[in-house]
Amino acid sequence: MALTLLGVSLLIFAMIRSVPGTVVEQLLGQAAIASPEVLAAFRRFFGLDRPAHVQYLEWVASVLRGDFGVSWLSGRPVLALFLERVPVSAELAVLAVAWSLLIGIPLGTASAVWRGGVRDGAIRVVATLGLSLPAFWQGTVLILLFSIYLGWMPSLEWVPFTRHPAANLLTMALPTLTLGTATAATITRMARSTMLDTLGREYVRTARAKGLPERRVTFHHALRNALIPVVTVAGVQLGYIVGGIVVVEDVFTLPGVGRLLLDAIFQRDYPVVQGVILLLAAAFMVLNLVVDLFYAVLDPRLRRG
Amino acid sequence: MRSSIPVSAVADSGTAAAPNRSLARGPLFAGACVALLVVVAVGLFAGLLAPFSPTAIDAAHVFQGPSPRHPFGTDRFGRDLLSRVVFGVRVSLGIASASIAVALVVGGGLGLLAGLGRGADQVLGRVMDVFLAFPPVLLAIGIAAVLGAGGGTAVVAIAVVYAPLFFRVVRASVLAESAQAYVEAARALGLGRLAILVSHILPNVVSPIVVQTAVCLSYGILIESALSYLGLGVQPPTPSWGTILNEGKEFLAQAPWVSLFPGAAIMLAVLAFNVIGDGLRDALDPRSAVG
Repeated sequence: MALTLLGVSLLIFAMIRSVPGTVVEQLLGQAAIASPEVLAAFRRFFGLDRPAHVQYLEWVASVLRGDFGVSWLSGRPVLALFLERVPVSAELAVLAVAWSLLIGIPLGTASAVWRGGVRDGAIRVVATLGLSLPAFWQGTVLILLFSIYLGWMPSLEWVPFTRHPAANLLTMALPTLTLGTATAATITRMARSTMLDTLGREYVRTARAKGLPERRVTFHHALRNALIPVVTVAGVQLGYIVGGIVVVEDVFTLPGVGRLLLDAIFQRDYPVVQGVILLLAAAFMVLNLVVDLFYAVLDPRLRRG
Repeated sequence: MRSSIPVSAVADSGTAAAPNRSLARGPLFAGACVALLVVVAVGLFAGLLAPFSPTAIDAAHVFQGPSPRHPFGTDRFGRDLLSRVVFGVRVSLGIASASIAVALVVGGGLGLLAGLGRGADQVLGRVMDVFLAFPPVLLAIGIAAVLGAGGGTAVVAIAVVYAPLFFRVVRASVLAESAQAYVEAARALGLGRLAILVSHILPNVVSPIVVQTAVCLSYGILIESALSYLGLGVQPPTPSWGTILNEGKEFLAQAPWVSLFPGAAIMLAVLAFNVIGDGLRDALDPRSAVG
C-alpha cells in the first residue's frame, strides 16, 4: 500500500505539472506572457524554477508533515479547507451506504428466495435500472419532483446535524437517495448472487433435511454466510462513492469536499486540487484496507489462513 | 454519479465457454439490442432525423415546452432540443466508444504483455495499481482538470480510467490460459511465444474482453456525461447529453424539459449496454454471472 500511495503521489504531482503552459502562466494569464520578469519571479516564488525531482521530494516531505500547501486564492491551508468540508461528505457517504444496505440486502435476499418468479424478475429489472441511472439526472429529477412540484423540501440549504438534526436529515435525504441508488442496485445483485450460491450449499441442504423451517434455513443459516461478501462489496462501494460525491454535491450544492474540488478546478487553485485529490485517493485506499481487515474479522477461515 | 464498478466486472474471467442458448431467448436482451441499434442508427443518421440544426438559435421560441413542432421543447436560445439530443448521440456515444477502444487497445495490450512476461508483469501490475487506487470518477475529473475541458480530454480521461480494468481482465485470462494443457502442447511442438499467444491464447480470452467492453461502454457514457455536466467535458454549443443537462440545470423550475430528455437518453443507452453486458456475461462466462 505504501508503494501504491507513493505512485499515487507521483502521478498527482506529474498531473499538476503537466498543466499546459505551466501553472503560473495559467494563473497569471496575459500578465505572464506580457512580462517574462513577472513570470520568472512567480516561478521562483512557487519554487517552480527548481528541478522536478527536488520539487516532488519537497512536496512529499511537506505532505508527510501534514502540510498540503496553501490555497492560492484564500491563502488558507489546504488541509484546513479539506477538514472543514469533510463532515458533509462523510455524512453523505455513510448515509448513502446505510440506505443502500437497507434496501439492497432485503431485495437481493427476496430475489434469491423467489428465484425464477415474476417478483425475482421485477427486482432484477429494478436493480439493472438503478445501475443505469445517471446520478446527476436522478438528482435533478428528485429536485424537480420533491422541491419544485411537491414543495416538500423547499430549501436545499445544508445545516449541520449538531445544529438542527431534523433539518440536516431532510436536506440530506435526496442526495442520499441519489448517491445510494447505484450502490443499492449493486448490493441487490450481489446479495442475490451470493444467496443463490449459499442456498445451494450442502450445509443448507442438511439444515433442510433436519426439518428446520424454510424461514430459519434462509435467515439463520444462509443469509448470515451470504452477507460476508455483501458487506465487503458495500465497503468497496463506500470507496467508489468517494468519486460520486463530487457530482452529487454539485447537483445539490452541498458544501462538501467535492464542491471544494470543483471550485478549485474552475478557479485554477492547483494546490487545493492537488491536495484534495491526494487526500481523497488516500481515503479510498484506507477504506479498501479497512474492508479487507473487516472481511477477515467476518470470515474466520481467512484468519486461520 | 454512479461510480461503482461491479465486482464481477473486474473479476478474473476464465476460459471461453459454450454460448448459453437462453441468451438468444431473453426478451430483455433482445430489447436491449434493438434499443442500442436504434440509438446507434439515430446517431449515424442524425443529419436526416433531426428536424433542425442543433445549434440554430431562434430567439422567438425561447423555452418553448414540448409541442408538435418541438417534441422535446426548446432551450434558452430557442434551439430545438430533439435535434440537440439526436446529435448528442454522436458526441456522447462517439466519445464513450473512442475512449473504451483506446482503453481496450492500451490496457488489453499491456495485459497480454504482463500475462506473458514475469518482469513486465511486476512493473505493469504496480503501475496499474496506482491508477486503480483512484476512485474512477475522481481520476477522470483530475485528468480533465489538468488537460482542460473538451471532447479530447474526455476521451483521454475515460481511457486512462478503464485501461487498468482491461489490463487486469486480459492479464488474468492470459495467465489462466497459459497454464492449460493445450498451451503446453503447443510449446512442446516448438511454437514460439508470439505464435502461441496469437493463435492459441488470444482466441480463448476474447469472451471476458467482450463482456468487459460492453460493461465499460456503459460507464464510458456515464463518465462522459458526468464530465460534460460538470463543465469539464464537451463544451457548448456542441450538443453532448451531459452538456445539455448542464445548460438546463439553472432553469430547472422554468424549463424542466431541458434536463429531462437528455437524461432519459443517457439512461436508455446505459441500460441497453448494462443489459447486453449482463446477457453476454451469463452466456460467455456463467461463473461470474451476477444477476
